[in-house]
Amino acid sequence: MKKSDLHYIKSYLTAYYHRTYGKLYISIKKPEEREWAVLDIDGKMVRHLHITSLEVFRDLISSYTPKGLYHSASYYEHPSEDMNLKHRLATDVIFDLDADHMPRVKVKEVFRCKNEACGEYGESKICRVCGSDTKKIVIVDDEVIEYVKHELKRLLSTLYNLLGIEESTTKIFFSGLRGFHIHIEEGPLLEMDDLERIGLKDFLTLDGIDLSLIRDENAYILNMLTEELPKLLDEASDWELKAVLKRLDELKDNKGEMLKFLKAMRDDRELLTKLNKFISSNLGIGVDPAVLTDLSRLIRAPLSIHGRSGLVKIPIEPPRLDDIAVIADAMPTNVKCKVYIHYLPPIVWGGEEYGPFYREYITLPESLAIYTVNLGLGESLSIP
Amino acid sequence: MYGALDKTFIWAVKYPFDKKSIELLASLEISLEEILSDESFLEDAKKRLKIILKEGRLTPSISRNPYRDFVIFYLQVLLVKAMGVGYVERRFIDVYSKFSSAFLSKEDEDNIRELAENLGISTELLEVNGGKYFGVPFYDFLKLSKRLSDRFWRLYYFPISNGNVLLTRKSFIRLLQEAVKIRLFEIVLSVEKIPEGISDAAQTLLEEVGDLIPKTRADHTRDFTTREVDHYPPCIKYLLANIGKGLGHSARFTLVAFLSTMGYDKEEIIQMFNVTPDFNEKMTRYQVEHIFGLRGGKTRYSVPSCRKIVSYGFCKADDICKRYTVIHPLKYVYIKKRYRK
Repeated sequence: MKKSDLHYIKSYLTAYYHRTYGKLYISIKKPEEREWAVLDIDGKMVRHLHITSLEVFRDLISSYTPKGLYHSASYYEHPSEDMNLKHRLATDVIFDLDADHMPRVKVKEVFRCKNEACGEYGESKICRVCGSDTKKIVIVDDEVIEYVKHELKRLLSTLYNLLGIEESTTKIFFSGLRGFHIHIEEGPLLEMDDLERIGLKDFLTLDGIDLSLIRDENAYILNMLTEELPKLLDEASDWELKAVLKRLDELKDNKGEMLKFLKAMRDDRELLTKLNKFISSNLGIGVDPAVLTDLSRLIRAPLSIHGRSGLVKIPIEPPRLDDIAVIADAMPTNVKCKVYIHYLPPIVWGGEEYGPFYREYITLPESLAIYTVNLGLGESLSIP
Repeated sequence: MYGALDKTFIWAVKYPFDKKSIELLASLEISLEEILSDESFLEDAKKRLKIILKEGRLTPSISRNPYRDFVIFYLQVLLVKAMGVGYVERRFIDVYSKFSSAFLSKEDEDNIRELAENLGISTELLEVNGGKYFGVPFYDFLKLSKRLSDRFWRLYYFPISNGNVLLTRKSFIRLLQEAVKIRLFEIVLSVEKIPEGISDAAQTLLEEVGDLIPKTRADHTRDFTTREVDHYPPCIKYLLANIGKGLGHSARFTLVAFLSTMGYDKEEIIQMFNVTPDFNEKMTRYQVEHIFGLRGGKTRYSVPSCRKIVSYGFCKADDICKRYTVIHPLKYVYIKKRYRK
């Protein structure tokens, strides 16, 4: 990255945190019981920080230029000690829905030629100019976020309607780039250890599912399978899978027979494994397993800026979920910025369409301009 | 037949860990000295512990003197604590949880629910599509089922309604057995002071039953240390095969912890990673030394369990994993070395 661009981004971050540090700090539950960490603009990660007051937090923000600002999901007795001396008191339950973990979400991809002398951009895996290999660059925009929003609604419905989690105990955030975070910061779930969280993760993602093991006609997975059969039949391309799903569809009014049929599938392990994988990838909810199960996890602080996108991790009220233009709301400023774009495919950012652009100076929303520079698709940020 | 007072003692014999039973013990106002003055109490407690260690089970029956049975249970708790051997403690807890579970399976719903309530598990009786269920909060289910190795104990195999997991009577009693284990563990843990008479008896007992106690875990681990890759579980073989493509954090952690347990030294392991596309010796050394317990908090990390490996996404379970219900990668090595040479 050019020095001038680094300087521009530094000013952008400094100005934001100067305006927002107080609001950010008070939005965090028990900040003094958490471990804090800063990813400095120079790429250096500083961990095990203990913030005891707003003044200490302000000093932290002034000492670094946070490209990423994080706090632990856990509450500790001694937040600044090494991991095994911190003494964990409780841990927020955090669900991370990220476009990267969802095979069904179609992100936008651009390929950059690995041959430095060429460096051409395009949309094919082999460079169209010199035939060299390319490096994939993934771009997130409004459309990708809309896809992830569907997954978010499924997750919320499962948490509220099935698991009986009180809506008032959850906080929903746009993560600042690729999806959403749900934080649960009160109640008995905070006591769960890592194995219990793995159990919850398996339930959501359907990891390790074996349909031949279902014994109860009212089992959650059997009900879901029955309800989703029409959709699954549409999705299945493999003829063997289709045949199994059709048979299940014929039996759907007789759960006992469905169970017998699924149990009998143990005789064809290969087909059963194929069915199990198909069910978990189509009906599982794509939460990031590490974020949900790792008790020493650091999570991006609410109202902090995602260093790559220049967008803010903003809270979202569930009733507004359908209407909210997430990226537009997450832009910290309305300022426009001039940037030289090497290549940018058509994207939608904050409700506006941009691109395609190819080797030209363009004026873009400041966050998008910063995002293109961080992706290596643009350079030379300046005020128009 | 038993009298009314005997009934309370019978409950206490069946469920000595229960709140009601502990209240009964306190109400007896009998001192340990008084109990120990009759040597036969301590002798019976020792006999019972020997049966537990030798046979791994207790017949679920109640003698003609339930008061005696109940007192003997608490003498066993003191003996177990005084012996200070993890294996004895685990065996005692396991056997007594099964002993209580056998009685519980014959109780009516009210008694089952009362015991559950006293163990801190609130239940609801629910009927769904003609099926009768005990509803348990899903987080209690996750807590109590996490150590059950049968793959059936996953949340998605059960009916769920409004935050409750719906369990049949049989499943609920099995789950309560886990809650009983936790309570028994707490009871043993709560013993702070060992009376002199008990310490001596525990030492004698320890000498008498020494050959019934398996080698310590450390010795056991050394038993299945090997460098023969064929003995390694499929997940580790997969990681070794893919080391050159670059592994994620959890995968590197698992591999280093496993190899260190197999007896590789840190230099050998660091060199193994010298084929990754992004090899950085300084960083690799730091991570490896951390796992070896040479840096940071000086904790030597152990190999993650299969449950964790599944969640990391590189479980490649083969026939041996399934046939022997392998729940830890080291168990796989043990099985390969012992049974499948």
